[in-house]
Amino acid sequence: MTNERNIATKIIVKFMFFLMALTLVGIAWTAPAENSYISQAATHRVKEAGVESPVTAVLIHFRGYDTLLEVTVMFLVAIGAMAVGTSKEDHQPSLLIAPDEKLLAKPMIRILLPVMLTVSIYYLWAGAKKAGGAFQAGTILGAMGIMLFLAQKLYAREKESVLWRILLVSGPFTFLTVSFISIFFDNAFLEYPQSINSQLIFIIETMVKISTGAIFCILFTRARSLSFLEKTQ
Amino acid sequence: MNPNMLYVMAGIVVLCIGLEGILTSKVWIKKILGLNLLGTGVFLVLIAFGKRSGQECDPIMQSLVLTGIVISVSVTALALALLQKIVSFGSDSKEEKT
Repeated sequence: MTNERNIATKIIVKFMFFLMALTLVGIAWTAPAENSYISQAATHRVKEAGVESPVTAVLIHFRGYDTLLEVTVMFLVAIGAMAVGTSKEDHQPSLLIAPDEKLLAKPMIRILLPVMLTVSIYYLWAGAKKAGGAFQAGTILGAMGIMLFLAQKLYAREKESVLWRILLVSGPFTFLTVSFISIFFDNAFLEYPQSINSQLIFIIETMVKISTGAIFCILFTRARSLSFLEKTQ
Repeated sequence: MNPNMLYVMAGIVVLCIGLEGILTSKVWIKKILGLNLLGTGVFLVLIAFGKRSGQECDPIMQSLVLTGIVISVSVTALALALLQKIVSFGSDSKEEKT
């Protein structure tokens, strides 16, 4: 009896999700074919932002509030993970087969490390003209940090050192400071002076990149101990 | 039919599967996976929708998706850290996690 009822409930629930998918497809189908005037304006007025790539212009300049909130959310998530997550030395996962690994992991890191640094700096530089930018570069920086953790070149601590905390806060701090200072030069909040806006965007992107990488490293060291999954079975 | 509309529909299907996983699954880790699937579906819909009539891809959609990907990674990490804490509290939550 209860089993039949469960199956009936499951079928009804699946049918509801099917209806939802149909509704969404219908909405997408009947949408106007042209992009909205906002995105057309964003594409046509890229030059005013001081960068050539429309995506970077929208991200840092036209919709700066979004990105400022995003950077703040990431900062808060890192703080939350630092408060909740545990990082014990004995749970440290490792790429190394033996403690004195000389064959694979360490030579690989010696080759990959400069390549990753170069690619991340290139992405930051390319963000002004084409696809690329602070978050892509920061993700590569974070991957580099995770690799160093796995090779035990960096160690997770119970409490992060002052340097890590400064790296964490550098992105949101720079973004807010630059936005606030530009108020005193006859601009609105998050509107940069026309003459030096490309330099300001570059400074913001660099600091956001560094703090994105640091936040991903912290998140990895805090949420990495997945040994709890074995306990549930 | 524009091939980009196909991507939009595929994204909608992925989105609904993810939402169903969040709402109906009783396993925490499957809920987190569902959240990721939901995010992926939304990003696919947004990106394909920005290019639906064959013009340049909408820069606003691109930067929204860029924002969303980073947030989704952060949310997953925080959810895993919280899950770890819940499990470490011991047998109190045993029936919730299996």
